Amino acid sequence: MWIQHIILLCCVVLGVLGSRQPASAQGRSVQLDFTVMVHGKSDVVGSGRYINRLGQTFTLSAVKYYLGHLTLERADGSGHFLADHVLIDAEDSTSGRVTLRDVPSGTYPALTFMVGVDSIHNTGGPLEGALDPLNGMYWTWATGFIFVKVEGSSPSSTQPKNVLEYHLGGFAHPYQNMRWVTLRFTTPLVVGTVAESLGVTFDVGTWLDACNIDFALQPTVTDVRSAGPMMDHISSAFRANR
Amino acid sequence: MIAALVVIVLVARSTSRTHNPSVVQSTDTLREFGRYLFYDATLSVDSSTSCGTCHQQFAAFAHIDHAVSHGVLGRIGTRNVPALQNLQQQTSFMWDGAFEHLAMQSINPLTGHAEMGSTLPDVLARVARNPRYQQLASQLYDDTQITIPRILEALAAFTGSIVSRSSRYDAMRDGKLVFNENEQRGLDEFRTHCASCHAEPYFMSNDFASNGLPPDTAMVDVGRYRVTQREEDRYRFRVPSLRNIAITFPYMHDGRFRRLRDVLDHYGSPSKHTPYADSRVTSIAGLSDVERKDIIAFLLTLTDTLLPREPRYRDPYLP
Repeated sequence: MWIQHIILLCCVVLGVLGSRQPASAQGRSVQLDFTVMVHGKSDVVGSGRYINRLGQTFTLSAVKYYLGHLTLERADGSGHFLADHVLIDAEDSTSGRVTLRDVPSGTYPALTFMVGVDSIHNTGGPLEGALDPLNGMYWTWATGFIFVKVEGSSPSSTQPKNVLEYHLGGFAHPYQNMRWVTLRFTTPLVVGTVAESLGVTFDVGTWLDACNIDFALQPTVTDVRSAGPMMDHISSAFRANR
Repeated sequence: MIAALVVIVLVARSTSRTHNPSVVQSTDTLREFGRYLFYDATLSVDSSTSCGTCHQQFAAFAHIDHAVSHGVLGRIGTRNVPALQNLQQQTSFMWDGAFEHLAMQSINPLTGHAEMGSTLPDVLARVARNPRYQQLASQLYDDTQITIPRILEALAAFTGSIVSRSSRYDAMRDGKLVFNENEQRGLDEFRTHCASCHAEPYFMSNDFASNGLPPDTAMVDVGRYRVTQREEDRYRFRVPSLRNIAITFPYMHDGRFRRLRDVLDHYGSPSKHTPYADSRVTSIAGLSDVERKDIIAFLLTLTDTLLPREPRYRDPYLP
């Protein structure tokens, strides 16, 4: 009987440790900076004109995406975890600035995150913050959140006003389109006495090229079935700057 | 000791979560906030249309005598306005189940092109500058702020409070009256042929099915398939509640039938069922004229005596 209590106690203690970082004196903030680019160029929304691998020109009017379960990982796979989802908006430079607080000292060779919103938050009620429907990322006709939204135009698009529109989401079987990304650093991040920072870029151009999107054939993708193949390529578009 | 640690875990978890807007001072006030929002036409793009425009209390919050919904600027929708009642029993909303949370559902009519045609930033701006809502928010929230999640929670608090539990059927179940012969035979027939989808006592199921209607050639509505992209969901729609059916005509997801006897003609005539009809529909071998009339007599017992004139559901802007 008391064995069960001890097991329960261990679970509870682990739960405490897992859900809240110990208030260790060595805990440091780590600043993450997420930037959206197209073929290595930033400031992607607005005037910039880009060319995809098929030679089709395009411009972008919106790039937004969700990150969840951001985890700075140690070599043994344990890590420091951010509970909230983060919405990155290419037009709002502050949105890409994410602070991980009270990160215990140690060596962290990788960053892992989910692109998208986990299923619990897709079916729950309205929340403030990144998941506020006011951010325009909640689907008004399908279920749940849009994970990645890329809008723009291309002369190759056959849509009215030559629009490009990629609204990718889907959390329910068989179209579960969240994707996990792990970025391994060339130089591990060492959290110790000095404040650390880490830059991560998401290159829309690299991603669309990896998807081999032909703007004439696929100017829009807004359904959960077609989103999967595009989400399969999303990890190739993320880079860590160390 | 263990209990204390469990409490610590719960506190630790809750503080690390995103703020939940539903922590309010009074659920009655939240419902009132929702009722004013529900009947507020200024939430629509041209201030012409409120939720209550198409969800009429006297019609159990359906849109009586309208096959499909009317939106702003004369726009016409593609689906019949569902009645609002006992929504706490539903696990999904809209004919195609696009929403799995009542509070999130309101986003669709607020922003729908052929419904209220607004945007969430516009809705927020209009609500936030209205002194009535400012006053309600100051009663409800410590920080007095109005946000979209709070607006959605308030609307759901109101619509979720609409209950149908005062029909002849309910009185019969409570032992307060006895059905007449037609009604009783109708109930028996209903239980044989219809209750596998329209389950008592809410007369619905949280399920999607094709009722065997051929798709409307103009609207080409593929139903739940649009949401899930699963082939088996093509032409499937939510199984609606039959409560208040007598006052929510016309019928079916696109309002194609004006009379209950049209509906019974469809279900009772196997030759009219399309090949993709649900097996619970095709298993109805046929209904005789008497059976159809008895089932209708029973369906009329599902009309609520209180809901259509309940003061708590009433339009507060009316004199």
